[in-house]
Amino acid sequence: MLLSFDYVRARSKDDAVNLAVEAGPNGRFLAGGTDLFVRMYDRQLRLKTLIDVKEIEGIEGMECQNGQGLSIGAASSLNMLVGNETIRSRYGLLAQAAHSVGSLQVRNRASIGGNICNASPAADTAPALLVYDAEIETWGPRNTRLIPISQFFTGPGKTVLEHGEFVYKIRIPEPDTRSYGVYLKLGRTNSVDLSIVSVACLALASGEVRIALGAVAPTPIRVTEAESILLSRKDEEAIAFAASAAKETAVPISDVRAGEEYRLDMVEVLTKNAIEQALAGLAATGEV
Amino acid sequence: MLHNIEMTVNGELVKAKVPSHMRLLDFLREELDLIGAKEGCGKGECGACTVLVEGKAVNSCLMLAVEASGKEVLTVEGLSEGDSLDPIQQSIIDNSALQCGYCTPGMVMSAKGLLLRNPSPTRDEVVEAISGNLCRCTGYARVVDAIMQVAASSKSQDEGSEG
Ligand SMILES: Cc1cc2nc3c(=O)[nH]c(=O)nc-3n(C[C@H](O)[C@H](O)[C@H](O)COP(=O)(O)OP(=O)(O)OC[C@H]3O[C@@H](n4cnc5c(N)ncnc54)[C@H](O)[C@@H]3O)c2cc1C
Ligand code: FES
Ligand code: FES
Repeated sequence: MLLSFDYVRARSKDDAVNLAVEAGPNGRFLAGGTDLFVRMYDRQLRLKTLIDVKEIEGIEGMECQNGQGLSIGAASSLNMLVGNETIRSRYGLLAQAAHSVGSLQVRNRASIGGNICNASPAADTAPALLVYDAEIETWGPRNTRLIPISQFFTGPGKTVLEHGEFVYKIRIPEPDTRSYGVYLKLGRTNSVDLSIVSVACLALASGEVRIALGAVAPTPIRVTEAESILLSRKDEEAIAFAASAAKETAVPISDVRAGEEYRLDMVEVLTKNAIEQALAGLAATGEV
Repeated sequence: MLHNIEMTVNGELVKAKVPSHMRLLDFLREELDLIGAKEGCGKGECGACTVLVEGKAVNSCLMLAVEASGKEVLTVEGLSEGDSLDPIQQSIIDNSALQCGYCTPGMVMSAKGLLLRNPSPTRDEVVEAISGNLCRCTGYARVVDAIMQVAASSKSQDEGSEG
């Protein structure tokens, strides 16, 4: 059972902002509810008003225009992403990350916007969005803005969103070159578990290698130190250096899922594996 | 806050007045007396509450009744036609793929959702489709067998009708 609250449906972007401002601090936007209802059921969270964003025009679905990159409606479900041909073929890392979330039932409801707004350090789509340099399009009381994903998260459960501001779309620029991405997630089980450590690695034909980590810092993070090591060299030694640089950057905590030390070791192992797999994948796609 | 809602449940139009905080699971069980969907965990982990909304498997404990307004809902009660069971239900029986049965309605609905979108899944796809359904007594091998058998027999029927 859930304790009582009021549910209201936003009819437009302006309506959503107005309803949220009106509702005040005890109001919250609602997308799939797979984070919110769990916390409300556990009585960790008591809200007065839920503002459903799912009916706002354009907040669900995907658009890909040549030269414009990909635009994903914030309320699109993770299974919509997994099943989308463009995402699978051109932004495969994002499809893998979305696929790794929860169970099939959860992914049918869970939205990509909810995943990042919930701002869990372990949010699975975040490392993927970080390596794709995604931008977050928001609408709020002070109009609209475009926030680079690297500036979006400020701490566990915290983002730069202001009161009344919601995420409308997630924009991913068109990659300049061919790329191959790998998402490695270590959980206690293969499904329905949050990650202990996760690594996203995107290798680009330009020579650049981008790496992001989940669940090992207050927010999901890019590890630019590791990336710069791989700019000029990609031999075994450089990969080992980069993996150890990733470990240096990580500042994990101990919790029910794993201890700090184990997490640190796993960052190194997974980063090494992810780089190797991404480079091999890129080389293989280049041959055809 | 109360809402007038209208949805199709197992093919029948249902109209009701529900409070905002009523979950779809509570609505089905308490208001419509459809007690097939079970509450195991109440937070998306066990899948005992799985129903199909617009043909897709969802946890009805994580969805509000008002959110299902205007939608088509299918529960385990809506599968059989009179005395004749859905092939998935029959296969669960034939394969002894249940013990206490608490997880079964959820398993069956996850399987139904899978076979609706993919009538001939691989074993891995079946495993994935029920990976959000926990079973504490039977285990999963027999359940997977049962679903695979339905998929195989519908395939051979298709082939039969073509040839
Ligand atoms: C069993 C289970 C397993 C899970 N496993 C994983 C996992 O493996 N990996 C993972 O990352 N997550 C996991 N989750 C968490 C959750 O499913 C995801 O974070 C999901 O993407 C949240 O999306 P939602 O639409 O359900 O969010 P909601 O619950 O609707 O919202 C979450 C938060 O975001 C805010 N919000 C939602 N949409 C917007 C918007 N457009 N603009 C502004 N704010 C918004 C809400 O106000 C709320 O604070 C799991 C959850 C369950 C129940
Ligand atoms: S009761 Fe809904 S998933 Fe457990
Ligand atoms: S048969 Fe008892 S929980 Fe599955």
